Amino acid sequence: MNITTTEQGEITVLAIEGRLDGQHAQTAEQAFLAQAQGGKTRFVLDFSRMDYISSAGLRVVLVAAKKVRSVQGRLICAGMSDSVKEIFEMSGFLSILETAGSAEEAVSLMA
Amino acid sequence: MEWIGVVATLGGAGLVALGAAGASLYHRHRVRSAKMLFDISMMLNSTLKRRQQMEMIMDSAKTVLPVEAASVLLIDPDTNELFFELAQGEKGEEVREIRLAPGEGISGLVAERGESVIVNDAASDPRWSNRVASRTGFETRNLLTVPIVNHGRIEGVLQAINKKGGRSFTERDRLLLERVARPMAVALENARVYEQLEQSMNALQQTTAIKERFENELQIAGGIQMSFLPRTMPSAQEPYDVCALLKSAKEVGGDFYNFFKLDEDHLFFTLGDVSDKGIPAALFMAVTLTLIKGKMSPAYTPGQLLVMVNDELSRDNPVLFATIVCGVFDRKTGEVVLSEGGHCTPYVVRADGNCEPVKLRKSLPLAAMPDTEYHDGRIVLEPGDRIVLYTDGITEAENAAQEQYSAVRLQEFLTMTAGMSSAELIDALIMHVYMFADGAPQSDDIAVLSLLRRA
Repeated sequence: MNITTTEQGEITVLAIEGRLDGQHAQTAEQAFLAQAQGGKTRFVLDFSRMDYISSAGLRVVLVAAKKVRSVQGRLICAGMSDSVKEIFEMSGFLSILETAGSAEEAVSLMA
Repeated sequence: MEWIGVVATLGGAGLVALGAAGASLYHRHRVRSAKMLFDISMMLNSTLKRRQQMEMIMDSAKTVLPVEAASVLLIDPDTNELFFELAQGEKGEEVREIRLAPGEGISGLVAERGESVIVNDAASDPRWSNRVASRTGFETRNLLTVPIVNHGRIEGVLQAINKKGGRSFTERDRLLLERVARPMAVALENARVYEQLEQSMNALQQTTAIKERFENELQIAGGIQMSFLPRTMPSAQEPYDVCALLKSAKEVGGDFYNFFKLDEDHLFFTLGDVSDKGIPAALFMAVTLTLIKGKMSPAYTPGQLLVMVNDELSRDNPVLFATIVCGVFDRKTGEVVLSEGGHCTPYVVRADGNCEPVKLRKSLPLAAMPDTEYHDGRIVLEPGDRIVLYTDGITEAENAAQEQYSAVRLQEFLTMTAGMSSAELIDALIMHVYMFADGAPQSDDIAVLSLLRRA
């Protein structure tokens, strides 16, 4: 797994590549929390290069969604492949997440 | 003269040509001294305990030379001080703990320069350190000190004290003691390596003991976890056949199931998966199952039950969550009311083998979010139909090529299960998944539940 963090104005884009599973969940959670603790409230999670997400990975997204909600921020999950989307669908998480086709689309939705 | 061959292997050049008949006095002396040195070397290597070696060295020195006492001083690599590891002789016991500063006294000098020193009148020699003598009351008349050298590194010194009969130490004594000191260095190094090995072994032994205790506790925890699962399957007299299986990847796991009768006509069943493995997952699973068992009654639908359980579980913002399917089966009508939270799709397998996914309205896993709604769905099992619940340990089981067993293979398998009892289906499914994994280790917990309405 590889995480790239970029700033687009007020918006923080976290691009997660590879497998977000139990082995990498903590790293991903810390990457998000470091930004949130720095006062950031608007996030795009770019999943366009994500191969797989496990339940431990889903938990990280849940933690992020709850955190953003508690500070009245906004979080968009962008660029899910069909197989990743299926996992979000199956877990019921799609019902509480805002999604977009790509990171660019997500950023323009927030602007 | 058995030892002749032995001596030759020591490489004494003058001895190789030695004939039994022509042995001169000189040669006899050389041979005796060589044999003695060889014996010392053999003896030193016969034990790896340093203390025993040291005593042997002292004894050897005293055998080689008629002296009152012998001692070995080793260099402490941390401080460069010389210290008495042991001293033998009538007062030997008393000098064990003494340390000398680097360069102090004759021993210090020998240790620094690596050259032997003979002192035949200690009292008048300015290099002589009086410290040991005054501490022990051992009067040093004369002494011979030789370095113990290993691969060019000075390890310490060997000292012979007070030659007996009031005689002086000679150059020959020096050569002899130097030859005694030579095998000592190697033996001492071996002993040091052995000591380190012994320490590592002890550390390993302790670690292993801790690990064993931990594993033992894990097994107990696993036993406690299994005790949360129903131990008896409902009787063969019932118009349904329910069976379930749980296989944890570790000693304890996060998958769970349960089933129990709510009243004469209604059977409750559930199966789920905590978002982790090991002890935290097992504890969370225990809490979840306890809440379900405590709260469920014929008055509630599965969806109402999940709302109540979720309210309890999500109260303290837990770090784990649990996906779940649960249902109530009516034995008279065959109707099943089901609710789910983020779990993988159950299947209905009809009596003719046709396999259909059960489309339930999706909701969030338990403990994911407070105030979550859970919805009820309905299906009807005709005689011979069954419902199959499972965790993603089945569909995401991987083979060595990292291909997943997948929902497609599961559905294909289920179409072939018409006529099987619930226990038979579960056995066959587990076998099918294992055959697919083909030796790749089970990485996730597995749980399966089959509820068949008897034909």
